[in-house]
Amino acid sequence: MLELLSAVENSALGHALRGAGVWTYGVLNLGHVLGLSLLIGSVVLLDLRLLGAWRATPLAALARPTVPLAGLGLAIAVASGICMVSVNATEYYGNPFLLLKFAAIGLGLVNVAVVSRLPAWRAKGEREPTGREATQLAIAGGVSLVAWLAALACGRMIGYW
Amino acid sequence: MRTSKLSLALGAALALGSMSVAAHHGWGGNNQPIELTGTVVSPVDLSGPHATMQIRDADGQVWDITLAPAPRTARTGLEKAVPVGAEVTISGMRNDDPSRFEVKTRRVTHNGKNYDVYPQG
Repeated sequence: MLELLSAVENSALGHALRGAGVWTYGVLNLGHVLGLSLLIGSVVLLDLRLLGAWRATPLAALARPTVPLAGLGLAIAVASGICMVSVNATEYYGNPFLLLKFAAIGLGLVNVAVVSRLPAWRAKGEREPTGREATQLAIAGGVSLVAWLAALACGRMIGYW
Repeated sequence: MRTSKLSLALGAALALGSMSVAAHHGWGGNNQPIELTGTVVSPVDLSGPHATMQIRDADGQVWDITLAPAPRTARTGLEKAVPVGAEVTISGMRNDDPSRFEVKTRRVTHNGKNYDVYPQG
């Protein structure tokens, strides 16, 4: 783990960012917050709908803006996050929140893969889910909510360890 | 059924949220006031979330000196004022872990001049 962190810190990216001026880290942090805002904001809306809120709003209508915005937010957060870690990667050695956060992100991504294969999700906009399928979607929404909020919480706590 | 799942999810969200609030004290983990005199062995580094430097005290112990975020530290002019070898006195709060020689630093004094990277409280 320490070797990996050391390699990340000594990468060309790490060297470039450390030499890029006093506002660099603040700007990266800003990008990370923007990415998280898009991701969490979108995911919470969609997950609460899957859990049964706002049933008058069709799932397909809510998925159309929230899914691509969540993906965009995740991409911004991952890119800015890799940059931030590369600045001082070895300082995260032994930080339990870093590993917990990666585990939470992993759970969130596995959940995305599972949901995108559910027949009820694929058929949204064409038919209503059956009772059983609605329960599957609700469970997926709950897992998603817990996974991404846990990732958010662990990410914030990294700095306080 | 759906309502109870929703409550459960909201409860989990609130629990996570309050966890953040409970741990959200700026200098948690550094509670012991300390003043140290030593020579700079690693110059002021303005690249990370906080500016840092290292000093060696009279006993030869090397301390990690955590300063303010980079723009704030840079405005004090500290990195030009204290090159490697400069004798400095720092005051701040020591890490609670006795095996970690790290001080979150409010003030660096060099040649009679104070560099207050954080306001004096």
